[in-house]
Amino acid sequence: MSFSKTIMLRNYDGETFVVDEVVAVEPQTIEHMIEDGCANTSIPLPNITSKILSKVIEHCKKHVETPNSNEKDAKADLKSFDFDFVKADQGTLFDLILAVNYLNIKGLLDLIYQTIADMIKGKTPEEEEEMRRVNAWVFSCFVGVTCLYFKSKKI
Amino acid sequence: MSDNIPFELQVGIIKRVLPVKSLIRFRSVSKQWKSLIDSPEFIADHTVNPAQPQHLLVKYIVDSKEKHVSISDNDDSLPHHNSSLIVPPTIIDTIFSILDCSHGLVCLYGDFRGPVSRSKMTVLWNPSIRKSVGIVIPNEFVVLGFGVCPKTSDPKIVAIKNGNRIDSKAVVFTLSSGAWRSITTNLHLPLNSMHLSRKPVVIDGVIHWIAFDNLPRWIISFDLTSEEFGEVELPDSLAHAANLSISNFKGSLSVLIYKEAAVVCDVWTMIKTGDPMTRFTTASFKRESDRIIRFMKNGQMIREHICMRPRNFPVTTLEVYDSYSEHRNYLRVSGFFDPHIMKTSYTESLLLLNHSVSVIL
Repeated sequence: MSFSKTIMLRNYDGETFVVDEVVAVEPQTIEHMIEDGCANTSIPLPNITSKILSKVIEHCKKHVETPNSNEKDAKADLKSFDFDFVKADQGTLFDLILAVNYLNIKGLLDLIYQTIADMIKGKTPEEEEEMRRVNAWVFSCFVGVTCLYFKSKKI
Repeated sequence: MSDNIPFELQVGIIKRVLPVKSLIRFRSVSKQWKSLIDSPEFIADHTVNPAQPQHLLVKYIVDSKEKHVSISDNDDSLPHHNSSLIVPPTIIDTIFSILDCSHGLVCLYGDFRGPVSRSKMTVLWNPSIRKSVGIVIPNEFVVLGFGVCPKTSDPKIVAIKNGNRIDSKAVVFTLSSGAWRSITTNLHLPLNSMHLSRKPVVIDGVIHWIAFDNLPRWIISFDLTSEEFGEVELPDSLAHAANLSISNFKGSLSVLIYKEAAVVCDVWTMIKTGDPMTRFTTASFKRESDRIIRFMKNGQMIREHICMRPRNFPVTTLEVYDSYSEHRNYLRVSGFFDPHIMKTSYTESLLLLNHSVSVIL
């Protein structure tokens, strides 16, 4: 039995995560760090919390483990995994997008981009008002549209 | 954690929003967002995205009034009535025809009451953002075709002298330059006797017409990127068919032949330019007056069906027809369709968003 090489990731909370090298190199940032020889003990990721890091690792693992075939089943399986993966609350998505951007994982970043794009398109002003109350950062996206809506109400 | 995500991430998100209506509203969010969405690069990227929502533009007459309607027409769901459209103010009360549609722009053509008394004018209209620009056609020239260059997202119009006889010279108008340019056609056909069909088909950045010499003999093409003309001879079996038209079938150029008193329709497709035509499918229609408007991705077709109501009043309906199951789904729009006005299908795009001039002389 051969041992696959593992990498240690140490994050913001001081926790360490041990992952197989094949999984750890999904994020381009980590891949470059390893190539540059910075990964002798553990790779520091000070700006990512445990909750987010474990989610990211879960996604990388799933995509590495699924065979890269054109089989319908494999593709459908991945699709449903991705679909459930992004069913997080907006706060988590927000933290995820910053982490994934830092780690430079293209596939996951595209997935989150598309998820948020689908969330913000085609909303009525009432729904936007609701979102504004719920989440401050989403409000920063809609502040202009809401103002416009109130402006038109006064006329 | 800060309350704002970096602008470059916001860009990544905005780029993936496809519906034009949402993008227009996002222009009001902030100056950064407005300049991003208005930028030519963003508009070009958005225009060539193949996943755009698609619409059918239909003009019909009800109670002696002309109405224009946009029908949402995406391949994954049945077409359904979307919204009423208002044509550009330049062309109200004039007789016009829809020449063609490309990348979200509808090209209307006719005699308009332009600034130079009555002249032939072309109006490029983007129904999704309600913007239009009128272009006056030079005297004695006739518009042959319209398309948007896939490389530069630049709308172009091709016109020719002498009615629809092919000449050795043609003129091309590009919106970016705002001017007409002469080009040579370089065709090897017997130009004196050939004339072109009135209904071009644009596929993959190339405009196609059928060229007639009494009977259809050739397909002429104009590449919007290289601005060059090309010619393909029709195979003998097709060449002398009486009732022939060209269409876009599953992304390839196809020839439709209505045979046997228009009961049967053969579809011949050219898979790749220059390949011989292969016979694809045969669809049979019930009545002579059924016409295919467009083929959907799954092989079904949207067609126009005329039936006689009580008191011999003809009513035209649109339906989605599946030639395999022979199942029909009627669309909600019905009325009297003016047979001279083409129904056409357009995608959503942001083209013309930045354009400020309303008429180009």
